Amino acid sequence: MRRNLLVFAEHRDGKPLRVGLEILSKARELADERDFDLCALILTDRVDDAEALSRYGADLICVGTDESFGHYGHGFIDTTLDVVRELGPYAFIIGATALGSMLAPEVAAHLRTGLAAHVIDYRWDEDLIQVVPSFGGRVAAEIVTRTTPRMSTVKPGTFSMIERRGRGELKSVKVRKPEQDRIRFEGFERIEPKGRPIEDAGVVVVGGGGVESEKDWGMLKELAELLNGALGCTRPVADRSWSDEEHMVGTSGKIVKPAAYIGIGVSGSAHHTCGMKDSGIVIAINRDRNAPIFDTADLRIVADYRDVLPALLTKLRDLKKQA
Amino acid sequence: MRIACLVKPVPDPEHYDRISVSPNGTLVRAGIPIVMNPSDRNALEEALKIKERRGGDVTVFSMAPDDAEGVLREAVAMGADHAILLSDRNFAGADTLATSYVLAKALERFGPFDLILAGNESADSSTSQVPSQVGVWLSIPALTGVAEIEHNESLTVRCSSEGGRAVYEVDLPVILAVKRGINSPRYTSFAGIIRANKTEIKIVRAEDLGSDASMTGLEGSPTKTLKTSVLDICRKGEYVEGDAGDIADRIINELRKAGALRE
Repeated sequence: MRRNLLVFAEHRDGKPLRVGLEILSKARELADERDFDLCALILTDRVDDAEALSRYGADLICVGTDESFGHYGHGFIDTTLDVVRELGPYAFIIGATALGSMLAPEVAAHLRTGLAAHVIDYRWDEDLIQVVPSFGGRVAAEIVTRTTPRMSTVKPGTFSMIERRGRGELKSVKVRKPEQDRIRFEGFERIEPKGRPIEDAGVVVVGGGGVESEKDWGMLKELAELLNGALGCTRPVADRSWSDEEHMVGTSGKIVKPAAYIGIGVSGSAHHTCGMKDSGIVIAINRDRNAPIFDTADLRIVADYRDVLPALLTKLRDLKKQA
Repeated sequence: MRIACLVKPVPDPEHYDRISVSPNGTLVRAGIPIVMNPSDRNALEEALKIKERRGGDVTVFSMAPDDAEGVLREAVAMGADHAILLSDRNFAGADTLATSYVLAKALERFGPFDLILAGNESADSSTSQVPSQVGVWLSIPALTGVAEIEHNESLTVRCSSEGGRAVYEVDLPVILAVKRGINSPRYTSFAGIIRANKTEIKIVRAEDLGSDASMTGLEGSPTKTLKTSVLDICRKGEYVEGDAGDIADRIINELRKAGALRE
């Protein structure tokens, strides 16, 4: 086996999740710099087109399909361990989805290897440098791992998808599953999202703890709609019922990079700004001139949103009518 | 039902914008108070609720320096029965693998426990790794992102996942990492504070645990931090104040320039 990097490419309903393709894209660059192979691992109940991963640079695509892989269970851990032991990858990267976040620490502990969490950048030095955020993104730490494989997780939206051909050889994986799993999947309860997803929106309006009432939240909703954007929130709002964690921006929420970000009543804790710092233009409205969000903003509007929003909404409605 | 709860003292997440890095590369977080990690508070609340319904006791564990005793005392004031502080110079500098090893050793030493609860992530390093890794050392299953625990004959656990919740039936013993939304943690009561002041916080050293020194602290950590720096995310901004109508015009102009206004 040539020296290689391995990426876990999670699938859902037969299709790869974006995060896996984002990681493959970044890993392809890293593999090229060291003349490594790039391997992908698919464990799923169903895969429509495994070879498609070669478009994002995969040289070898290991596929294990089994009905038990429709949801998390210990078969994931055992099968992944077999693959890692066989391929002996230099590094193994997993998307920090719900499933990936359960799988990665288990696999790392079984292999007694290090696991860097939520990497925001990789770089080759003598070894692979993994840059991770800490203290809610206030601090960046450069981490090296002294054991093999160097394991890490990456949050969705961290890297861009770049098409690059890999050899795309397929290899099937022997599926392992425990005779009796001590955790048994009983079903999946869908939850209707509270509004449009924020990950892909061109404009993201974010309401923070300074938004005082649900009625005011309605103004933010209308603003997001008029701008064809999505409405996100910070932790204090996610803790109320107006929004939810699916729409939370930041370290324990989502990473967004819209063309325009508008923060309303957002104080700007490190946990939040870490998730929006790469946005295009950043507009912040806050009564407090010293709010930390202003450090990260291009347009720092020191005002009460209850004065600004009605004026802004009226003008945007007029613009829409004219169009 | 014997319940263990893992608690991490962290610098108060309200003040992370005050953290800086000194010229020699060490983190400066002077003046930031140490508090109980927010989601660990939810884990403790869940432990206390289960104890109230089913009987049993709750033991809190923390791997931290001696000065973290206050956080454990607060856990007792909330209602925990026993508190154990795993504190040793050899535990310092541990990454998640070395931390989980020490916690697992302590859970074995003072166990067995039927149920182990922990917060889903710490506010400072946010890795969400320790609970699952404790499970591996103890050879018991782990679930993370736990949004609901239903306790009937067996345990039904709902885990947050993209687009909804995955429902699992689990056998005990199990380790569960709970999310902040799972409950609203109680406040400490006056009686609780009195009791906490009378309760011994047991301090446990490496020699009491019989832990292997090569598995703990810096030495036992496969990851190594080379360098830390404060991420500079400041922009050159412009302050705008004044008439709401003028501000609205300005916002619309800027959105137009950024190509974010579809007209």
